[in-house]
Amino acid sequence: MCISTNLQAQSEPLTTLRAEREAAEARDRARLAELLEDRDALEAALEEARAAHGQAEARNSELRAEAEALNERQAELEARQQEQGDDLEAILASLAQHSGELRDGLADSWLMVQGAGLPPRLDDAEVLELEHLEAFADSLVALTADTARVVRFEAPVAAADGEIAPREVIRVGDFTAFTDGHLLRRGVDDRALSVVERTPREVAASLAAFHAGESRSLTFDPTRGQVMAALAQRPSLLERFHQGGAVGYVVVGLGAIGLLVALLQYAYLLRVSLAMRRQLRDLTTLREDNPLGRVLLRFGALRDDPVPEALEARLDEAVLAELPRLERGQPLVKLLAAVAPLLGLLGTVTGMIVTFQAITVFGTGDPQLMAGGISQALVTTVLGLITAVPLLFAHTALAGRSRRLAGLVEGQASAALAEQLEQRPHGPDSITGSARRDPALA
Amino acid sequence: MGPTASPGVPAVIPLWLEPLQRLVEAGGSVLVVIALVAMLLFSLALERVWYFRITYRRARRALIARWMARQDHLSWSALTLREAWARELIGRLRRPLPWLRLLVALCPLLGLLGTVTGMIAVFDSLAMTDTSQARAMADGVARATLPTLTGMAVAVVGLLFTSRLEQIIRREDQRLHDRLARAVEDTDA
Repeated sequence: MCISTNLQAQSEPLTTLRAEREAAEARDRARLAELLEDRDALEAALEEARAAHGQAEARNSELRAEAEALNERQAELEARQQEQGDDLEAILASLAQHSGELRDGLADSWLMVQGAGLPPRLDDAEVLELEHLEAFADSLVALTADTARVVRFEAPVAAADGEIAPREVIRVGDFTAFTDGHLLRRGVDDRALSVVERTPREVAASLAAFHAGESRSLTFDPTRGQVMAALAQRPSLLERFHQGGAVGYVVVGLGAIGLLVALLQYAYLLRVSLAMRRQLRDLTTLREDNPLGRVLLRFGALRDDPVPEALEARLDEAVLAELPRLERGQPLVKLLAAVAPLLGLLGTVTGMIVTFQAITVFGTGDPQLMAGGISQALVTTVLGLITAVPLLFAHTALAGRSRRLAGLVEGQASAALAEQLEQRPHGPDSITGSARRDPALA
Repeated sequence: MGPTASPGVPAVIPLWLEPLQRLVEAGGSVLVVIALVAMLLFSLALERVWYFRITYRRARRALIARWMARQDHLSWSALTLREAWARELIGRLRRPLPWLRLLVALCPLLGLLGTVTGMIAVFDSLAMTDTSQARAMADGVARATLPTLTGMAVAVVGLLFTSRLEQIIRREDQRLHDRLARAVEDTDA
């Protein structure tokens, strides 16, 4: 069924083709007959065809000549290129290389911030053009001039807490850039500047003064941030103190205890000396609130003792009884002053031992670690020495004041005793007798 | 720290202070403290000498005169009184000596402190830089020993001063008693 329909469909074009061919042949035959009949028309057509042919020939020869000339010119140009091409290609290559190097080298330079533009990349330039050379030279000159310029501009700056806000920035040539009081660092992308953490205080002060136009000197980091990074790594005083570890805390704690004891005792001594001064101004009314008054009161109770030597012994006893309270705390302060440097040394030695043990275990791969360990170990010695100095001062102050007070009590008591004895109505002869027996000088 | 580019006039240091400035640069701030301690120490010692020469002698003369003015030179009470007077005078002469001794004891401590802080700085810089520069380290250690040297030197000289002062005062104590006794003998004779 379907095959028969196919055959039918194929037979149709066949019949049409044949019909068309027959029609075309019939047309040609008709034209030939026509031409043969009309000789003049034939001649004219031939003439026309000849003229056209001649025209085409002329155009052909003309074009040939032109092609010849062009070929000649091409050969000439090729010869010239052969002559000069090597030099120019070398120039282009070196220009492209230099502009690339310059772009790479200045990528993290401060000149990229509000500065002259970089020269274009020339890696894909085919032929050296004059403007390439001119643009490169111009941008080099502009960059060079820019390194000698101080520029003030507004730019978004990331603060230490990451907050980006527009700040007024000063860029000094290719050296440095800063806001009022902070050195700046180039961000990862070219847009964001960020402040350098832990800019040292004196640097910040000088930058702020320069920023405000008050001073003409400024501080910058010639190593492009390395020194600043090292400074930021350097531990602060508090961190150093914590490096001392347990021994450091013990040393400082002992020092604090010693100083507290010394302070309390010194306050007590000051109170005593004030009371004694009051007592000295008025020796008639004896008070119980100071050593001198107490000694004299006890002496007053013993007044009737006829033998001066016994009186003196009693008096000495009374003075001796006052001494411990005046010299309280001194042994402790002295002990702590002596112990603090020793403890510090102990901490240093143990720290060194730990460091060197670590080296024996892990090998001497890193001298930096060793240096860091040693510098940490030395901190306790520093703490011990620093603790010992004020303790020594405190001890000397305590000892001096207590000795003076004791001497005062002793002297005043002896003087009072002597005057008392001299005022005795029946005293002198009996006393002179006793003194004659003991004329030796002290 | 970057150098301070200052177009202004640089600070002019007098020529005779230059060695001092170099010393401070070499030894750090602890050296300045040691220098201050040394100044204090020697000015105190000189003050004592001056005091002994002038104020003390006047006071001693006044004391002998007061002693001579008394009627009674022999009783126990008189001797006690004399003893008390002499002790007070000598005590006044001796009062700053503990402070002198403290300053002398402080010098080696401060020297050691300067050395240790210098060492810490050396080792810190070693820990920070990537290269182990033995030469820089040796230089730093050599510098760090300077405060100890200074402290020791000051302590030795201060020790000489203080021991000499002690000796003078002890001798003076004796001499005062002798004079007081002799004054009485001369009047009695």
